[in-house]
Amino acid sequence: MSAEVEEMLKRFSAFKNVQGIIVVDNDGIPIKTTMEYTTTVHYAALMQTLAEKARQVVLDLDAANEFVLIRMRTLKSEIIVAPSDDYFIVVIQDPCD
Amino acid sequence: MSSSASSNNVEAIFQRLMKLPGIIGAILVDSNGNPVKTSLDASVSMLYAGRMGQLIHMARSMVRDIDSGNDLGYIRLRTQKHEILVAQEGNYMVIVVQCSEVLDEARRSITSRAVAANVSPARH
Repeated sequence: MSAEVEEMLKRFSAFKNVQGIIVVDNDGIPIKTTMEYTTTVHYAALMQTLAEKARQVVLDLDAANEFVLIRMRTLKSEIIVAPSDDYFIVVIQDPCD
Repeated sequence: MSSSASSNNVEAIFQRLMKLPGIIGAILVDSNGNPVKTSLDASVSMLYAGRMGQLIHMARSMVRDIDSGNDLGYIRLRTQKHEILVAQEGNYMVIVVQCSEVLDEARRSITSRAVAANVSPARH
């Protein structure tokens, strides 16, 4: 699992518009990050709650459907949260447009 | 602006939304969380309005919590079957539901045409 995570981090970090990447385990603990500590912990905690909410919303709308990814466009960045079995990943990048 | 002019405007916007690739439905929600215009049935619209309203509210407060100078623009919630866009504009919330497969195909063809023409593809 950690080889896969390393590989992913390397690939994503190569994009110049990526501001930060955080990998968080199912207990909400950041296991990998390219950002400084306080910001990482802040994102990890909030995005875990959001991912859980998103998962629940998707099931409420259609029990046969599954939450895949959430993309939030803010003024300063784009935040992407994607769940996986053992962890979830948060990517913060410059907005494209 | 007279109310008939603004409702024509809403109608025009709605018609444009309904032409989006893989469109399943679009819902316009007022500040009370009630769907005021929708292409889906009433109970489904009410469900979407409620759930998406909660999600966008949560996401917005999180974004501001992390950085008080930042604010949320819109959310794209991707599921296996659909992609749901939620945006808030003033007192209104707009929800657009599209089929993931069709949307991806449309994005791929835009990208490949842009690459062929050697321009930067427009964001979807």
